[in-house]
Amino acid sequence: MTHETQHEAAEERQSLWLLVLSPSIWAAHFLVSYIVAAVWCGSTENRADSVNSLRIWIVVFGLLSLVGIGFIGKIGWRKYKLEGGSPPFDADGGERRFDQDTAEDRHRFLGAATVLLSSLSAVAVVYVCLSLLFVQNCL
Amino acid sequence: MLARHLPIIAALSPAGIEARRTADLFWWMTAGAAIIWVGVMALAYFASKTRAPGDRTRQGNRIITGGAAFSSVVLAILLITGLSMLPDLLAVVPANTLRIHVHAEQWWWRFQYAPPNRPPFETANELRLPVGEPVEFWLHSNNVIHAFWIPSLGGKLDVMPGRVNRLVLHPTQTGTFRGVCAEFCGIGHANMAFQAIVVPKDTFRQWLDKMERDGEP
Amino acid sequence: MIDDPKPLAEAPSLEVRQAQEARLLKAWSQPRGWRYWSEVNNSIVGIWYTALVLLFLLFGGALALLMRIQLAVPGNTFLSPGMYSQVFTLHGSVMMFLFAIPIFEAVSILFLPQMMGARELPFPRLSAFGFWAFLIGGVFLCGSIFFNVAPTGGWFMYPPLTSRYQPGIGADMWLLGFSFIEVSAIAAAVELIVGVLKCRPPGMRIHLIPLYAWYVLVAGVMVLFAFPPLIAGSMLLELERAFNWPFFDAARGGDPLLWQHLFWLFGHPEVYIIFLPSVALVAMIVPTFARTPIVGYKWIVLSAIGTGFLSFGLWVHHMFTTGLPGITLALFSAASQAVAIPTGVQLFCFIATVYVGRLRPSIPMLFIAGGLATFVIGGLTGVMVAVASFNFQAHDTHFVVAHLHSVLIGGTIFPVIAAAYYYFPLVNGKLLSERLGRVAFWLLFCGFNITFLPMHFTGLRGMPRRVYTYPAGIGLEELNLVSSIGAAVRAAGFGVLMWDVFRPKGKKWDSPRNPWEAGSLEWLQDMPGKPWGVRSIPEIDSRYPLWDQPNFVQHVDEGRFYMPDAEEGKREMLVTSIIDAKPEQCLRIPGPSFITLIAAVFLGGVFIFPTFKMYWPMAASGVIALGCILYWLWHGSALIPEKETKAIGHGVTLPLYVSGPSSVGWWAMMITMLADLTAFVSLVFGYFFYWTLHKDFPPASIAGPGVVWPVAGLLASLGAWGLTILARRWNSREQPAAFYAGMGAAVLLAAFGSYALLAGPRQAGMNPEAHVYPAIVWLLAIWSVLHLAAGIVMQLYCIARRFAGRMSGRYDIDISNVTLYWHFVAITVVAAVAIMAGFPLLR
Repeated sequence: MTHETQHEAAEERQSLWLLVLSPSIWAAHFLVSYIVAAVWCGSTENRADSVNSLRIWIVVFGLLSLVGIGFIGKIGWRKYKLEGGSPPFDADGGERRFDQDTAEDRHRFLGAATVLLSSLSAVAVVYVCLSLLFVQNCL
Repeated sequence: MLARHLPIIAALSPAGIEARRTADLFWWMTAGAAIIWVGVMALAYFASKTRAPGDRTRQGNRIITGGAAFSSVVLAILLITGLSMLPDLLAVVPANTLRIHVHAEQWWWRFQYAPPNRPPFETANELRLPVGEPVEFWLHSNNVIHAFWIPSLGGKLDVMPGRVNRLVLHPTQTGTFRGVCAEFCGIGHANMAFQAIVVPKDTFRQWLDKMERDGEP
Repeated sequence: MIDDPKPLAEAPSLEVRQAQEARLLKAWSQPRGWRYWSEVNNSIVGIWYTALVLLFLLFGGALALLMRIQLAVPGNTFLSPGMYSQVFTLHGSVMMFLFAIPIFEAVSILFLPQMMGARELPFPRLSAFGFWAFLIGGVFLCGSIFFNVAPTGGWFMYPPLTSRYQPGIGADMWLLGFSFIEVSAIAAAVELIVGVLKCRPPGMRIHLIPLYAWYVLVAGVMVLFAFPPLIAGSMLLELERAFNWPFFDAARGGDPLLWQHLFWLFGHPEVYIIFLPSVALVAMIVPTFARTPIVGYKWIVLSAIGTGFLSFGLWVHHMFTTGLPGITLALFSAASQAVAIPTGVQLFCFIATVYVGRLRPSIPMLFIAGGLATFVIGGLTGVMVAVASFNFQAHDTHFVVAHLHSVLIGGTIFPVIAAAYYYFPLVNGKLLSERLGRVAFWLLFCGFNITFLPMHFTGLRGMPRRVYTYPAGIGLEELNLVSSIGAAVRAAGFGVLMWDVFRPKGKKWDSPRNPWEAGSLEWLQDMPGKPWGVRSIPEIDSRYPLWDQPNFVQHVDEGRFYMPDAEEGKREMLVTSIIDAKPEQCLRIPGPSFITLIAAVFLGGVFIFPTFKMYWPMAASGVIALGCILYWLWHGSALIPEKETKAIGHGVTLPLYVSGPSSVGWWAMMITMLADLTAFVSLVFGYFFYWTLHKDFPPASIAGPGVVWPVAGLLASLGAWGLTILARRWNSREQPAAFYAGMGAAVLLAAFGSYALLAGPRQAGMNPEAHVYPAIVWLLAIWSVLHLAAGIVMQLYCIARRFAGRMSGRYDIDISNVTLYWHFVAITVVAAVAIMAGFPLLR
C-alpha cells in the first residue's frame, strides 16, 4: 500500500458520519418537503388550487439532493477502490470479500457501505419525486 | 320495501365506483403478491437444497443485487399505479351535488340531509341514496373520533372533532349496504352500524317528497 | 497498519492459571442467599429480564385467547364490552411495550457482551435498574385488569376518547406506567449503543463486528429518537387529563391530530425497533447452519441503517384516513414503499448465504424458514396497505390486524423462538428437544396461518378493529370461527414450547461446548458458563474467530490474551476506540448493589402515585429517588483509582480513569441528552403544529409571556452555562477558590433564570386551562425550568465532590459530564425563549 493510502486509511481520519450522510440528505429533503406542503395546504384558502409551483420546488430540491447524494456516493466509491491499495479482486478475478483485519479492508467496507446507502437514498428521493406525478392540488 | 339483503364480502363486492376501483387494485396486488411470495419461497427452497457452483460469493451476490433491483422496480410501479387513483378519489364534486351532513354521536349516526331547494331533515342510522349519482358526506363530530365507512361503496374517512372532513361516494348498484363505525369510539363502537339503502333515482325523489311532507325538522 | 499482537507463545503455568481463575471467580461470582437479588452482572440480570419478558408474552397471549374466544361466534357474551376493551388494550400494549421491546433489551443484555468477547456491558447497574423498573411498571400495568381498571382506549389511546371520555384511572395508568417503562428502554438503548461502539475486543474493527451488534446499534439509536415523541405526547395527554390543559381539545384551540402525529412518530419506528434486533438473531444463526460466513455483510449493514432512517418517514401512513391533503398521502406512500427495499435486501442475504453454504437442517432453521414465509406475507400486505387508495378500505379493519401479526410473528416471534433453541445452551448448558421443537413449530406455524390468513378477508368484509362482537348473517361467522380455532392450535404450540423450556433436564440434555460448531465469539462459553464471561479478552482477526483463528478457544482458555486476571479483585473490562477497537481504558465496573432496586422503587412511585392523584406522595417519592440516584453516583461512579494505569498484557498499559469524549460516561450523557432534546423538539413541534392550524396564533386576544422576563431568564441561564464551563477550566487548573466561586454563582444564576422563565407567563396571567396557547407556553417554560433545576443539582454535586476530594483537576469525570449536560440546557433555553418571546414578535 502506498504511503498516501496508508495515511488515508489511518484510523484517525475515519468516522462513521460519512456512512449516514446520504440518508440524512434524504431525510432533510423529505422532511422539508412535507413541512412546506403541510403549511402550504394548511394555509391555502381554496384547497382545489393548483400546487404546481410547490411540486416543482420539491422536485428541484430533490435533484439538488441527488447531486449531494451522488457526491457522497462518489467519495464512498473512491474509498472502496482505495487507489494504490491491493485491488478488491483476488487471483482468479473473483471479488474478494474484504473481511480481513486490516485498516485497508475496513476502509473499503466503509466506502462500499457508503455507496450502498447512497444508492438507497437516491432511490428514496426519486420515489418522493415520482409520488408527485399525479398530485395537482391540496385536496 | 326493499328486501333486506345484506351482502357478504363487502369491500370485494363493490357497489360503488370507489369500491370498484379499490377492489380491482386489490386483486391485481394480491395476484402480484402471491407470485412474489411463491417466487421468494421457491428461491429459498432451491438455495437450501443446492450449493452455488463456481465462484460462490459472486453467485450469492447476484441473488442480493437481483433482489434489490427487482424490489426497487416493482415498488416504483406499485407506487405510481396506486397513487394514480388518488386524485379521482379526492376530487371536488360539482356544487349541486347531494350533500349529507353526517353527525357521529355516541353511539349512533345522525344524518342531516340538505337537498337543494328543499328544507333540511334528519334520519337516524339509515341513509337513503340515489343510484348513479355522487353524494358528498360532510363528517361532523362534537365528541370523540369516529370513522364513517360503507365498505361496498368506497373507502372510509375519519370523523374528527374540530374538523369537517368530506367524503364522496358514487353508488352504482341498488341494494341495502352495511355501514359501520371504523374507529374505536367507546363502549358502543361495535354496535354503531347503519344502513345505506341505494334506490333508483325516482324512488329517491319520492322519498324526499315524503320526508318534506312529513315535516321532519 | 496496526501490528496486532499474537497470543502469548506459551500458556502460563498451571499454578498461575489456577490462581488467575480463582481471582476472577472471586471478583465475578454472584452473592448468595437473598443478596443474590442485588446482582448486576449482565449474565444474571439478562436471565431475569428474559424470564420476565416470557411471562409477559404468555400474559399477552392469554389475553389474545380471551379475545378469540369472544369473537368465535357472533353475539357472544363471554366478555362484556367493557372487559373486552380492557383485554384488547392490554393485549396490544403488553405485547408492544412489555414483550417486543424488552425482549431485544433482555437478549442484548444477556448475549451482546459475549458476542463481543467482553465481560460485561459498560453500565451494569443501569441494566439492573432497567430490569427493576420494568418489573415494577409491568406488574402495575398488568395487575390493573384484575381490579377491572385496565386502560380501555386501545394500544394507541387516541384522544378525545382518552382525554375527556374516560374518567377512570386506566388511561392514566397507561400514560404514566408506560412512560416509566419507556425511560428504562432509553436507559437500555444508551447502554447498548455505548457497548457496541466502545466495548469491543481489540482488533474487532468496525467491519468485523457481529451483525447482531450492527442491528442493535441501529435499533438503539432509533429508540433515542422514537421514544421521546411518545413521552412528550403522553405528558401532554396526562396534563390534559389531570389538569385540564387543552392540548387535544378542539374547542379550546387544541387538536386530537397532534396526538396521532406524536404517537406514530414513535409507533412506526417502534415496529422496526422490534423487527431489526429479531432479524439480527437470524443473521447470527444462518451462517452457523449454512457453515459459511454471511454473504452480503455490507448489504445487511445497508439494510439496518437504511431501514432505520427510512422508518422515520412513514408515520403518517397510519393517518391516511384522517382527511390530510393528497400531497401528504403521496409523500408518505413513497417513503412507505421505499422502506420495503432494505427490508427485503437482508432476506435475500440470508437466502444467498444458504445458497453459498451447505445447509444443515435444524430446529432453529425450521423456525427461521417459517418466520421467513410468514414475514414475507406480512411484508407484501404491508406494501399493499401503504398504497393510500387501498388503505382507505383496509385501514382500521382486521386486514391490518392480519398484516401486523404476520410481520410481528414472522419477523419477531419465530426468530426469537429460533434463538431460544439456538442459544439455550448458553443460558444453562442444556439443549432443548428436537422432537418437541418440531411439534411446537408445526402447531405454531399452522395455528398462525389458520388464524390470520382468513383475517385478511374478515377485514375486507367490513369487520373493523376493536369490536367486541359482530352480527350474524353478514358473512363473518365462519371466518371468525376458523381464526379462533387457529388460536387454540397456537396456544397448544406455545404450551409445548413452554414445556420444553421449563421441564427438568437430566444429564442426557447436557450440551457440549459450542454445540452447533458456530464461528462467533459467544460460543467461547463453557458449558455451563463461568461467571466471569470470557477467560481472557481476545485479539480479533476475523468475523468468525472460532473458525478462522487457529487454536483460538484454547488460547482464550489459557489466558494467552488480554486481562486474564483480576489482580486487585475488581470487576474489569476493556474500553476500545470506535472504529478500529484499539484499547483505550481498563474500565472498572461496579459489583452487586441493592441501590438499583431501591431507586427503581422510588422512581416508580413518581409515576405510580399521580395515577391516583396522590401528588404529595409523588413529590416525596421523587425526593427519595433523587437521593438514591445521588448515593449511587457518589459511591459507585467516577471513583479515583489507587493507581494511574494498569498493565493488561502484551505490553499494553492503559489508564484506569478517563474523562471527556473518550470515556463511556461522557458518551452516555451525550446519548441521553440527544433523547431528551428529541422530546423537547416534539414539544416545539406541537407549538408550530397549533400555529399551522389557526389563522391567529398566538391569538391576539391572549397576552403572551412578553419579552423582558423570558430574555432575563435566558441571559441568566446562559450565564450559568458559561460559568459552568469556566468552573471546569478552573477545576482542571487546580484553582479551587475560583472553582467554588464560579460554580456557586452559576447555581444562583440558574435559580434566578428559573424564576424569570416562570415569571413571564405568570405575570401575563396566562391561564393554561383557557386555551392551548397559554398551555404550550407554560409547558415550554416548565420544561426549561425542570432542566435548569436538574442542572443546579448537578452543579451542587460537583461542588460537593470537589469538597470531599473525590474530584480534582486530573480526575474530573463529574464536571466534564455536567458541562456536557449544560450545553444541552443552553440549547433548550435558547430555543424555548426564542419561541416563547421571539415568535409572537414575528406575527
